[in-house]
Amino acid sequence: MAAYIIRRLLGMIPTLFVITVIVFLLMHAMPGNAFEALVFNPKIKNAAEVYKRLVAENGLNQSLPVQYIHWINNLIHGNLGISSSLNMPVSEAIGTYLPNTLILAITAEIIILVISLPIGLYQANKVNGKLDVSTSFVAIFLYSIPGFVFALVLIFLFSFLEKWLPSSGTVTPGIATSGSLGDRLTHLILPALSLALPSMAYYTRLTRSNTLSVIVADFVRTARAKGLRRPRVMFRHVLRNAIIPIVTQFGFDIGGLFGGAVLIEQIFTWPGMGELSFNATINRDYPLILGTTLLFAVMVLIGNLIADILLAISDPRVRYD
Amino acid sequence: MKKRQAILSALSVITLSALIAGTGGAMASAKTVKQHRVSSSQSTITIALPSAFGPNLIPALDSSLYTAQITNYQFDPILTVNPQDQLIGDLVDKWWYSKDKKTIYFHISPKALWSNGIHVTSKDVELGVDWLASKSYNTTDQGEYGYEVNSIVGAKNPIPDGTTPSGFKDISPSEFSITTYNVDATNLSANLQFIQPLPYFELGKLPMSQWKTSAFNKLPNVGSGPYIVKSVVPGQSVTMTANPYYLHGKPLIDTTIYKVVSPDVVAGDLVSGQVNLSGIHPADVAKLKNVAGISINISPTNGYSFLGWRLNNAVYGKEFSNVKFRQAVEYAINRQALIQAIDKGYGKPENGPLPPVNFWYNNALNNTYPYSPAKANQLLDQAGFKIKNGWRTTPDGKPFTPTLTISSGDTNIQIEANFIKQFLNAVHINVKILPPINFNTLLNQLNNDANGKQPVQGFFMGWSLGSGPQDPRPLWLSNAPFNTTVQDWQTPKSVLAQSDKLLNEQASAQAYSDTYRKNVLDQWQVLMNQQMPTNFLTMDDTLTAYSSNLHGVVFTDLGTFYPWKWYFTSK
Repeated sequence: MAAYIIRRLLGMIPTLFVITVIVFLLMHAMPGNAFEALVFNPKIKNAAEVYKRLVAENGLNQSLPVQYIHWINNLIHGNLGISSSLNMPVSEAIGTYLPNTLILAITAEIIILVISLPIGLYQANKVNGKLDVSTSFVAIFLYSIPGFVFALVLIFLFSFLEKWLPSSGTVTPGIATSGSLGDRLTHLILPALSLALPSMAYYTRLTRSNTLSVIVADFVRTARAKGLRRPRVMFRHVLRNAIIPIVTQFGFDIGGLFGGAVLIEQIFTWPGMGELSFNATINRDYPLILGTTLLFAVMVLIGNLIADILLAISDPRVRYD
Repeated sequence: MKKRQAILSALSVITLSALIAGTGGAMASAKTVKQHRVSSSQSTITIALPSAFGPNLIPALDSSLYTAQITNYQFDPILTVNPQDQLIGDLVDKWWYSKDKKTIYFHISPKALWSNGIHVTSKDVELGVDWLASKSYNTTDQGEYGYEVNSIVGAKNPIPDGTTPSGFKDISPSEFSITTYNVDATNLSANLQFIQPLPYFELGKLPMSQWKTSAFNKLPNVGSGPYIVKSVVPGQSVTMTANPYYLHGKPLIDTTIYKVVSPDVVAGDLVSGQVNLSGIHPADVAKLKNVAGISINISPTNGYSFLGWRLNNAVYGKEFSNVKFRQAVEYAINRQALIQAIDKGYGKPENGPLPPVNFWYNNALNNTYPYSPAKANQLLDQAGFKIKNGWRTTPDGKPFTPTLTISSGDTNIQIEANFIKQFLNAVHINVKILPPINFNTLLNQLNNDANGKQPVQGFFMGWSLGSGPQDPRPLWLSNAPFNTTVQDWQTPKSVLAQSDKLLNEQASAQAYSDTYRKNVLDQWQVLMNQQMPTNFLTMDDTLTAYSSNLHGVVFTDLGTFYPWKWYFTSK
């Protein structure tokens, strides 16, 4: 397994290289750069000169291959450059924003798994029963609604109407308990739910269908025939097999949740990677675009790796020699 | 208020306001002064920022307007303006000119104290000037952006860190003078008034090259303004506490919180009390005005939107450069209808380069260019744009199909473009709307169009003119960046020469007399109104919603005034 992980980690390098090249080219294919707007500012006494200087200082007057090699060289030395829109090192900006996204994404994943798996299992056990039909309907309903709609509805219900939870931010400013665990949790609930609800519906359906396909297998019938109790059959034999595709999907979703949080972060003023990358793109902040994209790519690749590892753990038939 | 200079405006929102159409309430366009019982339970005001503030809290270091809003609460300038846009004292209480008007003498108010009780001195002002003139500051974008001191002798170009321009003289702890290269009637109000003294006892010994990474930059512990930063949550909020030594007296509200709130939810936050003061969009007014506990203020804005034409365009530059074409467009567009449709009636037609609310606005421009398709047709006929198969041709007889370039992200711009297309179609101009492009792409096309071959022909933009008696030269001189990059208004030469002459005259020695300057600016506005270098469209009102129990706020076209006098009453 260790050799496999090392092999996979090394295999990420060419993938990351290709991703950065594509992003680099696409980024520069977009018209404009971070300094275009300065030329329109009448307070700048010699706009054209200032523009030229900033372009030169940031290496934007060099050829694309030279700029790329320069960026890679800095990256190897741990330098992601200076964000032109935030006027601070990219690594510092990512360091500020990444923890917020991690907290949000991990909480959403926990909510998804804790709620979806039991419901999916229950539905499969009571297939076509009243509860199965009704929860299936709810699941499809939730799955068909985008997360940002949930965000607005949840805010309306729990923040505006009932005033139970705050509508934005990660902490409440200006109070004695600002930043305490309780304060942070109250801010986390609505965005995490908004992010989790559509996926929750999907995972419920996935669990249900996988369980249904396993529950009729011969080994399950044998287990029952041997007189094993129903819960033991369900958790020891059925779930162990039904969970394999879910685990794989979970790994893929780790990277996906990062990207999916962009709108949710905007609505909840949640200063995370989604908001950071969105603003970087709007401002043509090349170093920040590259830095955030690189991080997204790494997350997706790590997610895939985790999926494979989890698959090996959950399915003894899978071996990575 | 420091950032009074023109900026490009582009906004887009979706709102949750539809969900909060509510019951019972009041709408106030001006609050009456009454005797109120000040609330002892509410001592915190939360003000919404629609976008994240920057990481630098030393004045003028950050390029974000929202950051400036915060730093301007902490650091007062030497002079300011009153709600009538007249220059008045702030940290400086008296100022006078030398005979040749090149030197200005300033006296610091004895009440001007830092928040730790230490007097603001000339040394602090000197540090503020040194900072604005320094190489460290001017190697950042913002350094160029806010370069306000290059009129001072010795500061024409950025100077080494820690040196003082020779034009600045520290006469005594409470007196200083500034000598400028030229006599310029606009300089004090357009530039020098915004100098913010910096605490010498905190920053004086720190090399300017280290200011950006200093602890003071992240959390400035002293200030001269009404509120002092207490804590910062990056990208989310800034909590500020009342300055007990503020020169106008300790603010009545103990704590001010600037909080970043998505425009999607700000209306709901106002209703639920999570926000006490926020700008809103026209569509929200109808919903919020009926909500109990919310009041709305409608103030004109010192800014406007315009329809520009690339006058050097390789395809139709010649046609756009014909003044009769631009005049015809102005008559053809029903701007009042635009205001009704886009701004829900909150705005006014704009007829020149200064909006009606501006102190220097020429009332003679009122009601010029009323909606008149007949007049537009007449002008187009005179200019030789003949009608063939229902559409006008160029005077050379070629098809005339100009395009409008619009930026993506703001549905209002697209709606506005459709309206304008209909209005121009009605006078047989076959204008087409190009697919929306990113705002930066539009800037890029305008920036790189020396040969007029970029696809952009007609386009939308807006200027926000901010506070302070304006100097229109940076926008309108024939060699100003706005002119050379955005529209390329270069002909007729005689008109440009006349415009430049008037613009320079409004800043001359005689222009220290308001009457004289007003007279010159009146002439210049008439010239611009006749020439229509761009088609002036509308001046949109600024709409603000606030908690009804918040009192003392003075709303003006320049923003809200006197935060130290604001207070809450019991609900």
